[in-house]
Amino acid sequence: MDHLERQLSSIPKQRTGFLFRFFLRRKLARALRTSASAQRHFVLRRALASALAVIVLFTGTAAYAYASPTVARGNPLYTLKRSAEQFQLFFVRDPEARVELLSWLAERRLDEIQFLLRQRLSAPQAFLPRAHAQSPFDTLDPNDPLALTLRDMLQMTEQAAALTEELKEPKKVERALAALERVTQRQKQVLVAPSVTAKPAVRARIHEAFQEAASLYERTQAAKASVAVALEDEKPEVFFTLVPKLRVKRTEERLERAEAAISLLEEDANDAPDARSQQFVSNVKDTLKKARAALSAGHLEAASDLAGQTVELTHTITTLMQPARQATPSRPDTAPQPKETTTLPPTAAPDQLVKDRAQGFVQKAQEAVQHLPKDMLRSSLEKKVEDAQKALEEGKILDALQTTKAVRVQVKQKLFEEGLMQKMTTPAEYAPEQKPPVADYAPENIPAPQKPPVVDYAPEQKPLPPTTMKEEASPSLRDLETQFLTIRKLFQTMDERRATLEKTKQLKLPDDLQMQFKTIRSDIANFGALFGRAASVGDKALLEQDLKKLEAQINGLRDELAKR
Amino acid sequence: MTPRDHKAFLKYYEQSVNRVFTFFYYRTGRDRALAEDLTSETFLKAVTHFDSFDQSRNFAAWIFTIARRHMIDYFRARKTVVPLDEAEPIGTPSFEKEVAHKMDVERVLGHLDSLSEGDRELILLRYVTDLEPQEMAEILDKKPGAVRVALHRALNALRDACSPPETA
Repeated sequence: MDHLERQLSSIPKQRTGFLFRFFLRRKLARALRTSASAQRHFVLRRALASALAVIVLFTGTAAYAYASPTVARGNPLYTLKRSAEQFQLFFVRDPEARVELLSWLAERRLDEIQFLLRQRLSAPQAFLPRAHAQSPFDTLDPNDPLALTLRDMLQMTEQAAALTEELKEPKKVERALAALERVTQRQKQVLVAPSVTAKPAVRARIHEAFQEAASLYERTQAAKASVAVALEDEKPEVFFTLVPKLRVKRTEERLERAEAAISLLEEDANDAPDARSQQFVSNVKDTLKKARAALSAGHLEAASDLAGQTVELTHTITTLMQPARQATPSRPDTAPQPKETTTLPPTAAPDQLVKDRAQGFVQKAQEAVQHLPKDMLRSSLEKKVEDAQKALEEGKILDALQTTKAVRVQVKQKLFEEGLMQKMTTPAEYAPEQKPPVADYAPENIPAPQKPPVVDYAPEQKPLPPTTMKEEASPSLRDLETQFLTIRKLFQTMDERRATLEKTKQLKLPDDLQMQFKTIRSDIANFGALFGRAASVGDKALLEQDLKKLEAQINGLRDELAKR
Repeated sequence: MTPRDHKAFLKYYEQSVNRVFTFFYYRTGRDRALAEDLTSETFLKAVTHFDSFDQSRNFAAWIFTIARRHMIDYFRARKTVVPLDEAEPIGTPSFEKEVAHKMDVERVLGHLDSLSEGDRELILLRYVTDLEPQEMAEILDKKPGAVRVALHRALNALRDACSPPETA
């Protein structure tokens, strides 16, 4: 470093004053804070904007999902919709308000059902007749959105009805009933049309919902009358029931439908008497038996479930047997026909295929009537067939089918009673009437005897008619039939007495005897088929043996009853 | 900017405020008030850009880059003000007030003002603010070798200015 450099290095370093440094430092610190704060604000503003956007998007979507009936089951937003409803329901604790909310929610389900139905109508093959359907399975999947929405709607309506029962103040009851009336009435209006036009499996389910709505509507009307009386009399409380009776009635109706379906199924099984079909029918009858037993034991839920299973099973079997039936186009659609056809409007534009089938069914009934001797019954049945034909021409297919079915059943019964079965060209079809084995379980189906017995099954008071089994060494088929009819009558008398006594609570049979009754009842029901087989193959020995066994069982049961 | 960054900046400020001030002081012809203003403005500018400063780098080089640019901007905006190149050499009157051993330094300073702006800046950065040629290279956006050469030339120019004119 030379002299100049040394001189330069010794140039005095300037120092800022303390105050200058202090104030500049403070200024800088403030600037640093402002800068950080601005940055923080920017971040916050951005986060806030994002959050707002999300909230707007979410609330917008939620509002759409909540409000729109097009957001139905199967839509990704449906969960959101139902969650919002559940949230709403959670905060409504007042029973009256809850009834109104539940009714409103049930109406929303109904809107969704309408939407789902419309959607299916727009789908080209959704409602095509079975012959044109691409899938051989025509049944409604239990997880089908339509089925689930129907279930939800019924559950909500039922909950609303149950809550209405809890209300005791007439004014409140009146308002709750008004809500219930509105929803059930709308359900009736909406569900009546597709219950005719939908394909069979869907139709059955919708019709079921329709009937439940109609039933609850009727009960609501009755309850309204009770309220009116209570208000008039200024009584503090109203007494009425909506749900328990509704449940019993619903279960009974389901069982009836199941029975109707089974009887149709049996005819199909006779058309295609393969082992598999027979086995299916046997299975479904067992389920029905259990359902009846559950209902008689007061287990409503179980009975309802079993009845539902029976109907489902019947539909499935009907579909499985479809190929066999398609070979004979004269057969009608065997989907269970609603019993209360008066509530349904006539099918305005019936499908031609279904109409052709119904026509074939009417013709078959006409042919069957020709097998009867010319008497009053025959002319009466001929008249009925004519009515059915007329109804068919008017487009009232359901009425026509129901009438025809009744004619066929009566023909079969008459032929069996007259012992003319052997003369039939198709003995299997006109086998003795096969009523569902345990059909007598429902109390209203048990005919009340003229004079109810006071004393229990004392043998001396109920002399058995003599049987002919031991008198004839080699009985003919005709004799065996007579003998069977006698045994059946004996058992039916016993069974009727049992039912009456049980109904009047004079008798409570233990389980083992109940079971014996059931077994015999089932055996008697199946005997008709055995006669048909024996007639066709000419083997009487087996039939005779079975008949003896049956008689022994009945005698054993009678002795057992007397002993106890 | 995190609180840690705040602390770091204030620490750098404490370390370099006097050097920056000194630089401005001599570059503004020892105008203390102006040097303070420029120093304040430089640090306030630095605060707003501190996010872009890589702390692994030399803070002195960074702050002097800002200071130098700020000073250029300042004089560019005030063209009416006498440019430094044309400024009258000052300092002669103050010589009388200085003690004898500082007389030479003052004389050098007086001659320093007579140098070109670039040379004066080089000399100030190197010998008054004590920056290394590498740091200067970073500030002036030149290679260190080029800075050394330029500095050598500036010193020669100053030396020529300080040596008395040869009398024939």
